[in-house]
Amino acid sequence: MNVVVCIKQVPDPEIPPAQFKVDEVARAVVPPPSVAPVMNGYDAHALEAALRLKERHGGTVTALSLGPPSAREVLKRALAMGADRACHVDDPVLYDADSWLAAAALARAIYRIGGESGRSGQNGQYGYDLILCGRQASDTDAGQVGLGIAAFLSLPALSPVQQVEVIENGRLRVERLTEEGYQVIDVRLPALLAVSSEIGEPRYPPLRGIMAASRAQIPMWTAADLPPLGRKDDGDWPPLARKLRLQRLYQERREAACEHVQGESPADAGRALADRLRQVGVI
Amino acid sequence: MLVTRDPLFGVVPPSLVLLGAVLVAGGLFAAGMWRLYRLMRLGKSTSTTSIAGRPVKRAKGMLFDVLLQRRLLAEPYGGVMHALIFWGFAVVTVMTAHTFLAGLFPGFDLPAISRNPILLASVETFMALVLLALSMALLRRLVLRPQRLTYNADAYTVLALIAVLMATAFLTTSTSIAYDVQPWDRWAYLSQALAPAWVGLEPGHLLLLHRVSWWTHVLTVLAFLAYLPRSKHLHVVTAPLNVWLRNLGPRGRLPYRDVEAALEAGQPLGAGEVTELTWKDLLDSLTCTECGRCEAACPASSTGKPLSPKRLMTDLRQYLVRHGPALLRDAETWSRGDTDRTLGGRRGEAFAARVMGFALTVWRMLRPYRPLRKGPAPNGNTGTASPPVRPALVGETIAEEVLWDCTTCRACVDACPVLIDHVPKIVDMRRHLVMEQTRFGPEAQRLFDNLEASGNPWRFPRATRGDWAAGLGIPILGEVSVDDVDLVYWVGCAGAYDERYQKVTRAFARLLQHAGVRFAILGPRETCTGDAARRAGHEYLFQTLARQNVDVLNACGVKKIVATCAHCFNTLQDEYPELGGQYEVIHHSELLAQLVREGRLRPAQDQQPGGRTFTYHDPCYIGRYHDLYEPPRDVLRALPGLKLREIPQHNRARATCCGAGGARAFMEETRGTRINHLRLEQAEGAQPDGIATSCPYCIMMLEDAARAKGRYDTLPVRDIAELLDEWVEAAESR
Repeated sequence: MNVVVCIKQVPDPEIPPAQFKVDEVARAVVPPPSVAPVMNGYDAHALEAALRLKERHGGTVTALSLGPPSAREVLKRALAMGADRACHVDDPVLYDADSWLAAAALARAIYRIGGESGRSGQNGQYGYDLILCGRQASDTDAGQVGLGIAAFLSLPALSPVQQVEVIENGRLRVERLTEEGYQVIDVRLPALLAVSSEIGEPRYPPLRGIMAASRAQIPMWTAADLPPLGRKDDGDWPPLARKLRLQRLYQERREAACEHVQGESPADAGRALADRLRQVGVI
Repeated sequence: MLVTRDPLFGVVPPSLVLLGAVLVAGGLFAAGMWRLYRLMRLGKSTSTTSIAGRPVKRAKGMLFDVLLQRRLLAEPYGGVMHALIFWGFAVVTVMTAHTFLAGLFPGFDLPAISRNPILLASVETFMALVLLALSMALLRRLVLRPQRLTYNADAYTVLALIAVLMATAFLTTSTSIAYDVQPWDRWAYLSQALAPAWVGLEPGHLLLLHRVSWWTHVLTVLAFLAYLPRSKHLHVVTAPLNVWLRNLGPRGRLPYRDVEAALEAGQPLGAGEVTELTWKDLLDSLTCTECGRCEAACPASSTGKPLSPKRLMTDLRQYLVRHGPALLRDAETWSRGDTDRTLGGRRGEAFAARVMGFALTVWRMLRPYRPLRKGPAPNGNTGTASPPVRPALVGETIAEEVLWDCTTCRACVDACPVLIDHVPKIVDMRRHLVMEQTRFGPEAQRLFDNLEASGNPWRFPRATRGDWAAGLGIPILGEVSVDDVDLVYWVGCAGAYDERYQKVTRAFARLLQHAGVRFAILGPRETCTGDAARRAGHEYLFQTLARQNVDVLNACGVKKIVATCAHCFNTLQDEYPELGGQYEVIHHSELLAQLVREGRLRPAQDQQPGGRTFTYHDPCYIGRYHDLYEPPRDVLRALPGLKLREIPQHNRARATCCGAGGARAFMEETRGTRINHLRLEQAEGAQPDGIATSCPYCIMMLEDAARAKGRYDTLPVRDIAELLDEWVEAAESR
């Protein structure tokens, strides 16, 4: 089974939120200077799912990332964990992409990946069998890109997914998380699954993998390298343009004051506290 | 006199019979030793030990640890027992040698030995003391039965052989005296006292009894010799060797491995196989005498965890003896194809091979144990059995959990009378798990991830590493030149980020400012020293972190460093020199003791009426690793009104670990009971009002234990810097 995993590079989500600043003029979140970019957590789970499928059923895993040059570090980690190849899409026109533009660029890149594998595999006309991505990215938490890719490529999509198994050639049995439990759904390949953390902990890359990945050559594609999806009526579908525009980004200010209520005895203090709470209208 | 004159059965001269017996036993001994030597040489070479380096130091070790039995006597019962047998063995051997020479060469007699009054009296005295020691041993094995011992047939065989030797020696000498008393026999005073017991026997029977006893004695000596290479009693040979070959390098330095070069060359990154341990590691395993002092001292063993340092050694030895021969055969087959690359191929190898071949032939002739033959196979095929499947050393023979239980506290190493170095083997096997197998728990993974991403174990941002110092007027190196400061304060991850330990950091900084010490910190340019990564087996990550730090320190021209963290202190002092970082490193306990001594810090009388009693918990990485037992105590003793009371038994070198070393601080303790609870209970034995210590991990662990036992408010845990700061502040406010 040939799997393409979309991986986003995000600012380290383990950093306490208080360390981040909001630039309201530039409408951007500014991470503290020394924060290392890391692989988005859910995307790491998606990669883990892909590697497990490969271990059980063979095939290849291709890691794909859209982002600035630092995204290559994330792709190297994917290679170290066991991905067979990596593709990096980087073009200034794609920076600050909205969900629509990111999905469009990634869909085109996946189409190219399929073409490079000779449109072979179990699903000959596509060249890939499965696309995995994380259910959402920890920086924007939008959860749109995966579904967008599926829409552009006309594939079925399921999100969020906690379990995947192959039941027969060309069909997967998928567990999709719901509010209280999960649904069991069979889906015909090729398909797109947006994976949740329930699928299992991502592996730590073996040291030999890290060393090999550090020397790996990762191809870099610009917007011009991304072929249109070949619809007859539109030679440039989907267009690499933004559809959304952020109007305002600001940090909500929360104010807290602390006041000591005292009394002669605990009972007095309790009475005083109740009076005060009534005064401010809480009780 | 232990001499027999008459021919055996009137035909064969006794000297020829004895010669035959000596050759057989000597051959068995030599073959057994040769086999063990070859097994030991399966290990790879090592640079941490050498036969010739620093002979004076090594000779001193021989004097104290072999002749004077220093480490054994640390435990009185077993120590005295062993010392009596050892010294007895040393004295009696002179006489035994004479007996054999006299037996082999009729007419041989050195009066300086055989008639030496002092020697005769000493031999008699020590033989009695050895018998006393044997009864102590039996009492211990049969009645007292301490848990640390191994109860197997080997131990009883050894005791029985020694008992037979002593009994027959007394019997031979006393019957000789009864038969024909000589003037010098009065020095053999115990045998002479026994001699009247044989008065009733007629001379012919007496002579027979004497001869039987003599032969029993000498044959038992030879049987013992042949038995040695198959017994833990082998330690009479290996222990002195192991003591001589001890690692004289810094105790806190784990063996360095060039990970990148090993990766390039496709060499193993850790020890997953006996051939990936060093020959000294294998010699250690062959030297273990199963006394179990390590196990009794081990915090993991003491809290019911699977790890026992003794079992680790005996499992390793058993594996080596059982599966080593197959590995040797592989090596031989391989070397036959390419004569230039024989096992350990060096100069003179042709000669060595010839000696080896001869010895192998001898060994095959004399080998006492034939391979088990279970009769013909059911189908009547009598072909040789297929070789046993060799289990993995790491994971199957030595369980992974055993390796992960170790806190690297070094209590086992310090307790071992034959100087076995357990810790580097455990870390080497962890390296195999981590770097070759990528097998470790999720907590270790989080530790590695966090160290990689942020340079500290909790993933705080690098940029905020110096934030604790905000507003305290502490310069960051770069803002000031290294020439304008006396030293650089290495804050460490806990000191920089941990809310509790920041109090210690600030107290120490205040004390330095108060004493007028000019210092600076590295701020965000400081990174984890890598101690936890290295001890968790991730040598590559350690080297990455260490190189970053060495680059920064060297670029700044840092010469002198003070560290509050015992682990940072150890890594900076013992491990960074190998990575190009040469600094003068001191622990804050040393600096504070010095500042108090010089009168630059003046603590006032304790404000609390009646004063307070504190006990002191020795952190492993400044205690057993660096012998810094007194400086922290000097600081505590300098506090007027504070009474220092030691933790009963478990203090200084015998202090129990808090449970956090060896990266255990970042892992859950799921097996057995909790080490920090055990340590708190030991500390409670001193009935203190508080516990003082001088390491962030120890504070963390002991405070957790106090919290869990509801003693958080009644048994405060403080760093010595916090206490000194409190006392000095009190002097200020007056």
